[in-house]
Amino acid sequence: MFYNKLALHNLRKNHRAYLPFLLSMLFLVAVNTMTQVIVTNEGMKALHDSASAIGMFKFGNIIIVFFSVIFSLYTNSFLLKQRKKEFGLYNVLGLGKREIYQLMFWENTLSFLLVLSAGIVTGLILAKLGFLVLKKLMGAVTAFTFSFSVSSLFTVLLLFFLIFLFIFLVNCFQIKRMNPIELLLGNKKGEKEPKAKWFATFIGLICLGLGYYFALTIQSPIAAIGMFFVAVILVIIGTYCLFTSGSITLLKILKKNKKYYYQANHFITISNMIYRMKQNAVGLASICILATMVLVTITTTASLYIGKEDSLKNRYTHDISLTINEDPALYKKIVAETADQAGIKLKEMPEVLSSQPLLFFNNKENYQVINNNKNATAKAAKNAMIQLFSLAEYTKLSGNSTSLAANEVLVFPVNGTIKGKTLILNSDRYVIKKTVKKFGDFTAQDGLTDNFLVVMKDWQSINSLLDKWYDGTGYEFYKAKSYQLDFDFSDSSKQMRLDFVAAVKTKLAQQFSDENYNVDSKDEFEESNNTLTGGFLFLGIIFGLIFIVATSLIIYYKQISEGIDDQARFEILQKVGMSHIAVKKVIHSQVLFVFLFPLAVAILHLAVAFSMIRKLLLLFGLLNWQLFLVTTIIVVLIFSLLYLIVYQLTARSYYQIVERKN
Amino acid sequence: MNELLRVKEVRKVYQSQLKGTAVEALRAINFVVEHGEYVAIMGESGSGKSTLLNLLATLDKPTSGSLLLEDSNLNAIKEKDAAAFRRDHLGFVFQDFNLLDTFSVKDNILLPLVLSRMPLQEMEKRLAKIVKDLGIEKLVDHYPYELSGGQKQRVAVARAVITRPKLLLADEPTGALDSKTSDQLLKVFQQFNQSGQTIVMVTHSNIVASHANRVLFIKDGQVFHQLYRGDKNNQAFLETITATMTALLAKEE
Repeated sequence: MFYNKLALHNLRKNHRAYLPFLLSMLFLVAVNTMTQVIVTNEGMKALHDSASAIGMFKFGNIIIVFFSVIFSLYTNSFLLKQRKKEFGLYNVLGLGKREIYQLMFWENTLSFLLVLSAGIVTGLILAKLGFLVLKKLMGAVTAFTFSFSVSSLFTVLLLFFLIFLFIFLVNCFQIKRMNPIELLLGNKKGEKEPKAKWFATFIGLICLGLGYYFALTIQSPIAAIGMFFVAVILVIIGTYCLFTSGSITLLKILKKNKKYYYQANHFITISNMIYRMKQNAVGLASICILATMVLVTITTTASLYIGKEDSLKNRYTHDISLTINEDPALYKKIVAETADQAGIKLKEMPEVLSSQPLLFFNNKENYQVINNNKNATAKAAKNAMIQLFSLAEYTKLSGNSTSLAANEVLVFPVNGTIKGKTLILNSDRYVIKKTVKKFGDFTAQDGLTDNFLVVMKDWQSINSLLDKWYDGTGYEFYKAKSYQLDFDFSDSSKQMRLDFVAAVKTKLAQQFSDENYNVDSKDEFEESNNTLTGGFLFLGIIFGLIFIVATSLIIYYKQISEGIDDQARFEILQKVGMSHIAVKKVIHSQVLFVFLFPLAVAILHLAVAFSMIRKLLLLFGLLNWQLFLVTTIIVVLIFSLLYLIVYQLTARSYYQIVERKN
Repeated sequence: MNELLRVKEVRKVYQSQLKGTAVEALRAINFVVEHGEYVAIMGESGSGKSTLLNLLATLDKPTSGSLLLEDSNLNAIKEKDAAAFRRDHLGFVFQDFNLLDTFSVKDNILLPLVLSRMPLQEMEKRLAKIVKDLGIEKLVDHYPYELSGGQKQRVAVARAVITRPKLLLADEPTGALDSKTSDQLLKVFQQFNQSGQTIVMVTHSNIVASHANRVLFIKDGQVFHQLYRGDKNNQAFLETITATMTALLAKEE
């Protein structure tokens, strides 16, 4: 065949144009292979809390697939732009469009085969490497082994077959629309000055404003989950609209203002920026969105990973907690027996007796009992958990003796505050005799909802309240007393402790109904938390890497295409009467602005999202917001540094083009 | 004395960086341009005419000798002031127009004035006059890519003269134009000259040179010969130039 030889020749001859395309496609194949292999890996199922980890990776995988499609089209558009002239020449020299399609078909097929084979090999190596990193981050057990299935590779193959097919069709469509002279001229055709687009600008402002509004005003973490994605989508739309049309509209407004426009500094900058923004707006908006995503993912995942010890300590004051709704004596016996059999020494903490945690709805400081599920989650921000204790229990746990009248209470706020000196529970008024600072092992901590411990005179008054609040059948659960038994291990290996918890759970399950007790183990939580935070961080790092490569490539393309245009402008401006230094300054500041702008907007997005993300982190048990803040600042600094390095490296190729003759 | 430009014993040597051999582009150039003159500098390629123009344009400095524009010594202008000097005293027309594609015609023409921070009102007054003189009133809101070569060159001329330069320098201004638009452009130059604009033009074309009032021939880095128009019309002057060129070439052999 003639065309496949010509295609091969073209690939070699055009390596300057083809290489970035092939490299970025290869990279995409490799990353897809890696995530596919990890997601479908059998060893994944051996993880603690494997369902959530697999779900998380599947979600990440979907995002990567989307990204691959978009980025393939982007890098292809640059390739096509550079190749158009050549295709035009073939057309003039006598190849019909049909033959050009054939030629393109072969070029595409060859690059597909090349990229796929090299990409899958690289991907498998990366997967093996990534797997080791993941294992380390998760602190995973030995059963977490590496294996890959042929079906996962087939998925990658199918995905990229479709992508290349789509690229081929897009290119054919582009060629079909062109006449030979246009093809020959290619990208040299003069560009129209872009028009101001008021409508798109307006949409952009609305979307961004709404997105920011949601992010800033959200109160409850539970509402934050739903609103987070709405806000993200609004901000993405807003960013694209404002970068593409908003920037041009703004520049046009400035240009209309003659007093402002016809000043030496503004004159050149504004008219150049209009063209720069037209050519680069989509690229810049993409950089901005990607940068924001990566900043958000890495700060979040790194915070969770770094803060996991912290959240563990916050959540567990003891190694094992049993919450029991019936007589605890038998439970104690079983735990003690199991410990003896396993040769584990347990330290038993004083037992804590209280009411069940009761859900209230805060209606203007009147706490109304929620005894059906209405309003329960819908207005979670205004909900409060209240647990009732008797004075005797308080005296036992804190060692402080005090007296309480029937209408007096002590309050220990775990999270939130009660305004004023009175507590209204279902319209009954109580005087807060004292807000206590210390109450047994309980500690104050941020949480999803407000949470108060309330001490009352005695159990008799508590019981009569409960009877009044939960009148009717089906509420026995709320009226049951809650016993909390806490144990600490003294000196035993983690595996032993995990085995012990499992044994206790089995034994209790044999004897008791699971409605009546709950076992919470610090070690178990730590394991599943490790899986989750390690997995998250791993995904964050992968996204970060993909982004850095993508940005580098976008920037590289931009530098090359702009350098050639700017070189001519640079010379003309000097001849017309700008000094070499002044021209250099103008160009330098424009280039720098174009690069710093997306970064600055990304950091702004992150700053606005900060409080929303903080609330989301509460859901994962990360309560230490200072830690999140410090992590965010460090991540932003590191990221900015990397970004600037990429910029410097590619800027060098730009300045080489621009300053060749000077 | 009505002298505008004096070029005295100008020598320019290019030093090759690699081999260290020196190439003498200009040996000893001497000439004087008076106010209101229209001078064409002719020479074969490699004769040094572009080097000379670059020196006049302050884009380069001579190895020795001096160039005086009225009282200012072009050698003594520092690189950072050269740009402002060019803007205020010199106008340029290039072979390839050198219009900025990001500016409309209007903004291209106004560019040097904006750089000199001229008030907006004054700029618009000057613009209105110049576009009328050049017959490009209808083009002011267009962009360079929408214009033909002849139109582009008119815009470039407008940009060159809007600063009211003492000296208009043209480097093969018709090089990229067809004969008809060349002719129109040269007429424009002649009109400008008649209204008092001093012009120095570099060209290798006899026909283009025949529009000037005086022709300097450069060869081997020296002013080899010069011709004055006197009372001759363009056609007669062209014949004289052609004859001179033939004679010069004949001598060489």
